[in-house]
Amino acid sequence: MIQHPVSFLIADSFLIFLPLLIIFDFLRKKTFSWFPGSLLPIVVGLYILLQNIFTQQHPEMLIGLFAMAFCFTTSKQERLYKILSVCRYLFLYIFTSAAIWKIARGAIFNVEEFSNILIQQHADILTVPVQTALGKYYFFLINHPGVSLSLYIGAVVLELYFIIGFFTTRKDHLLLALSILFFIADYFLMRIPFWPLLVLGVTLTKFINKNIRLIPLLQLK
Amino acid sequence: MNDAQMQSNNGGRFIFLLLLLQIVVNILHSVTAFPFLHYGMYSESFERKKTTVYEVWVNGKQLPPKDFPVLTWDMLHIPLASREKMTATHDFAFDKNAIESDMSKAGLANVFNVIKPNLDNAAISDSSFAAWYQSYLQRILHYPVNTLTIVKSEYICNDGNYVLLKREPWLQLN
Repeated sequence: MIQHPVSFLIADSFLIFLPLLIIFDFLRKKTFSWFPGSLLPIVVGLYILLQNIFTQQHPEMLIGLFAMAFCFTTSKQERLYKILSVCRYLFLYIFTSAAIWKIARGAIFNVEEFSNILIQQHADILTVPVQTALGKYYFFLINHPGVSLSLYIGAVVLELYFIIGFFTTRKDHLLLALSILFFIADYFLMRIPFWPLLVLGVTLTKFINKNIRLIPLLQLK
Repeated sequence: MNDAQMQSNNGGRFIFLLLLLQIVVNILHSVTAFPFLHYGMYSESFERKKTTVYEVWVNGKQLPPKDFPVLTWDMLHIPLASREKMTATHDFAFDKNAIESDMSKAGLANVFNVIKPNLDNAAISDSSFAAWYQSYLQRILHYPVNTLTIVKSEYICNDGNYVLLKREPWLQLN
């Protein structure tokens, strides 16, 4: 691709125009066709992998776009809600596994954990004279490990709460609010924009979750 | 069991299998296979250690990190950190050896031999890398980069302050 820069334009064109083609096809036939719908997850998946290669940024924040792209592969309601169920479980899993890893690897027991994370994460902006309020706030958290650890443990508790979504859909509105809160906090504390993952939050809305399929073994009666 | 119940059970099993696959990938710790990714970022126990910062000086002025969107700044400094890591690890020799060992244990040694050439990064000199980085920066900054200096600094954070341990020119162009 580097030796043939026009390939970048082709890749971008696929990503931009394929959804437009799908929408146009839907408006014409009043139904989603498996083709070009099936192309969308392939194009999105490849694009995410290429983006990861060229920018070396983690693909995790874009996985929601890949998962939701499968929604356009079918016009059958039953199949659509199966796909949305998978997307919902993926969203729950992302949070739950993040919490479990932090507990299992002992991070929450390290008093200086979040302070040390902040030192590494913001070194590039904190090693120059700091004048912004956010920079001063980072220094405050670095210098007060107890406060920063409280935030870290609070995040773990928030993430762990998502486990309830595996058993019932009754708390989905709360989980959606918590996910938005988490991404806002993550952006201001860590400067990591996880916004694209919120696309999976659609599966927690009342419009969608009333038709979500729970795993029968786990479902609360 | 009627058709609706069977469909319901099949749907639940399908979802359960996908989840199980995701869990298996996660238990394998650092192994990821898109789209089954690992969501354990910032979960290891972080100790206080030296921090490396790359100062990017373009046309005699330092690029201020706070003036860039975070993902754009990542695009500026990650190639530098990666170049450093590639040199220090002899082109990620440890990781490649680990992959070869794991694939051999799984009976996939022949597959590894096929993909091995694609795992090796082409050796390029510092001057070639600097020239590449110059053109890469120009596309991101949207203005000419006539002079380029990368300064590598190491800090340790003590008593709430970053203490400079070492500062040295790392890359120079023009």
